[in-house]
Amino acid sequence: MQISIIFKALRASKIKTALIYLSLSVTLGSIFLITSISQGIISMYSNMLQNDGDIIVTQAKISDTFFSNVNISLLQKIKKIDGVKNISALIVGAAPVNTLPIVAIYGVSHNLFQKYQLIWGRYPKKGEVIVGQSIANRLGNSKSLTISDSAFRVSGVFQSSIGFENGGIIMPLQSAQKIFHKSASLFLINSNLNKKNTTLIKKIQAVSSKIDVKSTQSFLKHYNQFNIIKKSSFAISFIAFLMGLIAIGSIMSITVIQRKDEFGIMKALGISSKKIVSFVILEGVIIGLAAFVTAYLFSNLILILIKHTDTLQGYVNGTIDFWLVLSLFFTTLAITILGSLLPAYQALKIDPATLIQRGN
Amino acid sequence: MLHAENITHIYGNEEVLHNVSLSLKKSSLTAIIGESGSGKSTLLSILSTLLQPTSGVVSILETNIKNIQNIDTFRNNNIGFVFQFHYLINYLNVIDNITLAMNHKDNTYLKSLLIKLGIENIANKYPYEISGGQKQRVAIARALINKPKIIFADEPTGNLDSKNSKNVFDLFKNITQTEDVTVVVATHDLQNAQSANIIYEMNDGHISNYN
Repeated sequence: MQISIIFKALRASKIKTALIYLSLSVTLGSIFLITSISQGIISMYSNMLQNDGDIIVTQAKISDTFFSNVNISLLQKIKKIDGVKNISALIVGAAPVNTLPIVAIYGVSHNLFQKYQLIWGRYPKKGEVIVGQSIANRLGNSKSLTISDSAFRVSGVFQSSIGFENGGIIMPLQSAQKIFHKSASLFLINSNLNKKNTTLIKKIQAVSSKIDVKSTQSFLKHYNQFNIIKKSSFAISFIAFLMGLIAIGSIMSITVIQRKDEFGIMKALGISSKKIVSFVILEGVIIGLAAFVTAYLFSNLILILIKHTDTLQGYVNGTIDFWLVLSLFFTTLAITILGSLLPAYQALKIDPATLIQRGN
Repeated sequence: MLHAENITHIYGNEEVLHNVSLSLKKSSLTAIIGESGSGKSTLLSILSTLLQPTSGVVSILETNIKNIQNIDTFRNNNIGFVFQFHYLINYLNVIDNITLAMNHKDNTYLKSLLIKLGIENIANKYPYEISGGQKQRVAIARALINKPKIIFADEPTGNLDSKNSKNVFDLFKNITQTEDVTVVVATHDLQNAQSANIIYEMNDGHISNYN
């Protein structure tokens, strides 16, 4: 049976083909977007921490860096440990800024300023902040800001490829300590060691029982928030997958019932069961592949729009990488093949003898 | 060519065929006549391998149909069908309908068939663009495309006027000779059935020779 016949069959049931195409496009588009955005959030935060150190120190027995409070006095003790090349402190917080209800605020020790690439101005002193480019635009390039209840002067604007930073405000650690009433959210340590830092981590851990020391890689791997994002994203994607499966299965089942005579005559003429099953499944796969391409293009367009939506302040960012495309391609095949199996079985069960008995 | 012995078939609690036996000769035209509900369509379904009888033996080309390993391939190679409602696929043109289950690539034969059935001019038309008589000739071409040994036709003239009905029977009679094919027709059309070599009559599930 020629492939052109399958295209003719799809064209003949325009509305049903369009319905399957649309439902699959929405399903795959949702999976593309939810996965790429959640991956984007994880990679932005991971990059932010990975760039600044290979060991991370947080408060012990606390589930999120936002709530972590590490005593700053420990910084000097850790700095003296053999193998520690560089140590910096960071406060991660969020606060209202001028009229914006929530903006990411980073209080950083002075040695971290250099990583922020200034577009103009200079690094901040006491009572000053530098502002990420996207949030600067959002704040109308204002020269003074009210963060929480405190007034700050903008000493410069920086640019960062990491959305959380580009949409955030950087201030000296001391200023952030006053706003957030904490010592430091975490320490980031660069070590002299090229090999595993296990011994160094043990030494740092020995400094205080109130801290938790991990390699940044291990921290990110086990970070609760990432696991929650990943699991939520998987759950939503799985629900979208099931909905796509149900949509293709039910619409194609209706199509097969309406085309009972067509499959009946195929069976009467001796077209093999294998060919009839392939015929039904290929119809689903062809629509699925068209929906896959549409979903890919549509999702990229949405991500570009999201990227340029000022109100999101650069915090929502997603990229569709090769592996996501590949996995979604196989997901498309899985949805269409699984969704077409029941309709294909229905087509096979059509009794061609009914064609003879219908007129009598 | 085809032998049926003591065919009995039961639908639910009703016995619709009672010990039906018949034989068909090679290259003959056989008509099975009878009222609606007489059992002729059930018999045709069983003889054409579309339905398994409750009991009895059907042999086609010296093979008991119960012993055929791949019934789809057997039908595709040896049996053609013509139905009252044509069952042409509306989204396929005449050529695509005829070649839907074609198992060879002999386009010369396809062309000769189109010419023989007088449908070469409508080859690229769709079923909804042609008349009832033309549709039935397309269906006959579809039945003949794999050079079958036997064609089963169920009320092939049921939707045709008398002129087209006669043409169809003439065509059947003709192909029994030119295509060396056996044709079995279940019909109400007693007048045209007279052109058959053998006529069987079905009555209440029983078969008899029609005189």
